[in-house]
Amino acid sequence: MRLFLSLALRNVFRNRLRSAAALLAIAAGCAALIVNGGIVFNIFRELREDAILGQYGHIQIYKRGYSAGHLEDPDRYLITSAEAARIVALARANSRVLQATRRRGFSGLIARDERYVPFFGVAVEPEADAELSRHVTLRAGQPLSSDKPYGVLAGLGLAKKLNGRIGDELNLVTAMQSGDLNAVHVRLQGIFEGGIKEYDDWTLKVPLPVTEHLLQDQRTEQIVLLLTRTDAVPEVRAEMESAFRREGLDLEIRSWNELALFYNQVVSLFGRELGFLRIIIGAIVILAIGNAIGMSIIERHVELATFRALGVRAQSVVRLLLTEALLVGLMGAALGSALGVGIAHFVSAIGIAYPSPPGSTRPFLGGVDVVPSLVAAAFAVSLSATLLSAIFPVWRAMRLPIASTLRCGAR
Amino acid sequence: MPAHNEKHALTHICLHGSSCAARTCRHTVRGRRDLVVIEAVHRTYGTGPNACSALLGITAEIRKGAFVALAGPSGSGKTTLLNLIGALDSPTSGSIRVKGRTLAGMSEFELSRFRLHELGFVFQDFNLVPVLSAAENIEFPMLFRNDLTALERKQRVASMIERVGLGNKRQRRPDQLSGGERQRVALARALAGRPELVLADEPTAHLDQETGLGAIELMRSWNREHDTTFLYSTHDARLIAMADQVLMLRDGRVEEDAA
Repeated sequence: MRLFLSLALRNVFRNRLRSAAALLAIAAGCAALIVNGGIVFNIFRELREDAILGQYGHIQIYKRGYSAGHLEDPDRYLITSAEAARIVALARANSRVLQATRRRGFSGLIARDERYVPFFGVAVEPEADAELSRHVTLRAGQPLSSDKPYGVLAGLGLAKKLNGRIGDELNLVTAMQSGDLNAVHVRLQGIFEGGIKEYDDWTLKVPLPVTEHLLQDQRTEQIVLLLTRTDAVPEVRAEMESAFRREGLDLEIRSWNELALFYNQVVSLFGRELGFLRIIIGAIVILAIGNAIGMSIIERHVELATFRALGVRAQSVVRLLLTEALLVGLMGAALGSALGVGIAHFVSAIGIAYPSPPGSTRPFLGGVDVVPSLVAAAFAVSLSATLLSAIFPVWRAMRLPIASTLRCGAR
Repeated sequence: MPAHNEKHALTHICLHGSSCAARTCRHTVRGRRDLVVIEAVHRTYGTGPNACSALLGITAEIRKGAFVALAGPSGSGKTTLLNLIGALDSPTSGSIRVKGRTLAGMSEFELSRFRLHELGFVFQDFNLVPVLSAAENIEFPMLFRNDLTALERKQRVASMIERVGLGNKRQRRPDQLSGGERQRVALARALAGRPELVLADEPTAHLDQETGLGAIELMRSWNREHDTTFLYSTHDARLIAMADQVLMLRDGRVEEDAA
């Protein structure tokens, strides 16, 4: 066995140029898979985090039936302030919940200099919202603060429509539950860019106490949770559901991925396209590896025929060749993994400047994520491709007649 | 029960089939039992108008322990016949029996086993494994035999490498050896497995006369010591003269079978 393995290893390095070509093909393929996957992962992660830290948080909690019925009867699906306080307390008791905050959506008109601009208001708790809006860029002014209870933030598009400047006074007009109109004076404290054009064109962030005063209503529409890690969402959601059941709270819970329509559309569209690209890269990798491995076997037809002439069973010759392919595959995949991770770090350090994605208002600087599962998958694919691409030439070599192969080699 | 190397009476039925597995060797022999029996063997390559006949009804017998030269001009069918006896190829018609077993009836597995245990091959181009040392080349085929322990293999390698006079070059790779030394390694590889039959295809073709003679003398001495049957093809008259039996081939036929 020792000599067998030693022979396989020595065969790998017998033709250094050929082995270098094979290793390079495998390494380049493996690195390409890692980098390609890392870029895709990075783009999707950026979009995901934009969705979470720009709009939705990780988990949103509403009154049961909210999603299906709140458009027809919004008033029916509001959470009382007492219930909201219990929910927030329960959420904050979970160690993986970083922030739990109340939100309420409302709509109305902004009156300024005899101009009326419709808006969609998001009532937030100022300090908590800062944490939940880490991916929202403040283009001008200051973030919301409890110190300035009448300060509001307008989306970039909305601010343009208002021709608003920081410090401008605005009048918010909305209808209360009773149907009567109410108005409040606020001051434009900042202009933000969330990245989604629709959102930026219509959204006005208003401190929750101001909204409650405006609406004459203390109830909450939703509780938004921010977690320590995105991948903890399913577990935390299950824990929250269980906690609410225990407490007799009849609530509906939705995760960010159920809410982020834009993210889901982009991932669905580009995921397929990039998946197809990955298949093409995979095919090129397999062909390149197949060519390199195939050539190294074809060169050794006479030697392989000699083995069989000496009585070595075809099965043993196959085992030897596959062991060689395995060694080449392991070395190539290890080299490729190191190369891929190195390229990923290098590219991430420089950054890839992307234009604005569809529907987005801002370009972004991306990178290449090093995803352990992707690196493992690229390693496995490269190794499997090497073994798979060795199978056909090995099979063909074993089918060659021994006598004529030896004779051809002798000529 | 007679031993393998024992001479048998004319009508004796040999009970020692291949690998002594109590198979009955049903052919009778003259004086000593025949190790190889070739009957009306034809070998044709290709079909139709492109068919080319390499052997045209060869019939011959090779006794156990014989030192047989296969002579004849180029293209007479020497290599084809060696390949057929060595189970590297199969005849178009006719049969070849080695130790009483018809090669045509053997499975791929049995043929590999037959080549591994019963045969030793010496190739014209030596066909050594370039990445292995001289000693490792000699050991290589034995690695695939289950009947030899690692210690036995090492002992055989040590003994063979001394026998062929390459004790001080055992760690050298083929490209670090001369042509004659390579041929001695190839010979040692063929003999280390203690085969009953050694087939050598023009073993001296790439060697100078003196070195070639040395290789044949080595084969001859081994033949006498171990009663191993040798069948080698050659053009060299001096090597032909050393043989017990000469099969002279011409145009795919046995022109002369002389003892």
